[in-house]
Amino acid sequence: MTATKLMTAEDFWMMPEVPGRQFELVDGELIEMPGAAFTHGLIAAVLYRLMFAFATERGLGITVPDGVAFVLQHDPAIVRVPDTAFISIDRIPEDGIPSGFFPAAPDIAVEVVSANDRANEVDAKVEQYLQAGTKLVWVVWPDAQAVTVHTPDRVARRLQSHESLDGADVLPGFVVHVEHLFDVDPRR
Amino acid sequence: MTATKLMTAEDLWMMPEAPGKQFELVNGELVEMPTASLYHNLIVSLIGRLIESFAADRDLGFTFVDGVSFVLRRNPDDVRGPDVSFLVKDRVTSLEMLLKPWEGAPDLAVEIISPSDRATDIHDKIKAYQAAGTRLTWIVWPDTRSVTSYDARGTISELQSGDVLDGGEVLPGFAVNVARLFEVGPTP
Repeated sequence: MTATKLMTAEDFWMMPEVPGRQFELVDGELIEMPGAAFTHGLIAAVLYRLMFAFATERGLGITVPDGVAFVLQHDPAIVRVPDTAFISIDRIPEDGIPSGFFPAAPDIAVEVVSANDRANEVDAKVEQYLQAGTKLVWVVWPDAQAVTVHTPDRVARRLQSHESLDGADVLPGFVVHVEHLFDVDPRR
Repeated sequence: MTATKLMTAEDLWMMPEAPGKQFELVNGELVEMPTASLYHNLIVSLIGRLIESFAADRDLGFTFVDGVSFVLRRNPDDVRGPDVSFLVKDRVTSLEMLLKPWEGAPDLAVEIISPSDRATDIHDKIKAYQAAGTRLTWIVWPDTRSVTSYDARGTISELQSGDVLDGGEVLPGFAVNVARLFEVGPTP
């Protein structure tokens, strides 16, 4: 019997970078992420900018853009790269900001859904964040201009474009109109 | 400008059957459904059986499994075929109503996710059912053995093995452990 060699978070960290390609580790297996659409990146950037400004001004924590990896689980390893994420100040390791992957889950994870994302994959991703301790998972649906908010109590809410997305007790006071997230064309 | 000819529910109904193929209409456009696995099919029939036996005992209404058409919207036509669906007794006043596609939404729609299902398509489908008046939608995730339940008040419950899936106001009193839905196929 040939056992498939599973990768650890450390193996993944040592992997040479491949320009233009992005990977995640799911149960020790390397998964390539599809290239993101232009609007996908813009929407993630809008949310990143708003969260960063809000959290930095109030000293609430660290907001990271796309490309930062979080180790959600060891053995088998799950390493995910949200489109935007937030880490509360009290969860930053005492010995400082890690130089490698962030060793745990973010407090807020944002995933912008791409046209070619599988339903299964989005569902699994949300569940992995919640199980690893993420308090808010925001799944953003560009086509429908909606956001689904997932919380550890497993009662989700779907927000339509006229509704407001709030930071609950993770980013208290943070509020953004859902439609504002999709307002990415500078000519308007 | 070339206008694409949109199909109606009647066009779909008159379409010759293609063995092993199943279609839906999304905004008047023909969409082929992915072929389901045997496992998928076992879950569909189990859920159909559970609902059917509960509802038949209490004379609550009619249970349908696969291959049926609900016209969720007209102009452009939206015609969907849930894996399992249920119509309460009061809405079915004649046999004639059951001899053609159902004009309107089912009271309960159940979709079992296949690996090839796209996240955005599932998101749109749930929205289409709800907008057309479906009071309860169950999305069943074989990979994670979980169910997401959407009720008419907009509550979204993410249920896992050990949690109870209930029939809400559509099937009052119906309750099944989520784990039970996946007890199909050979026993290990």
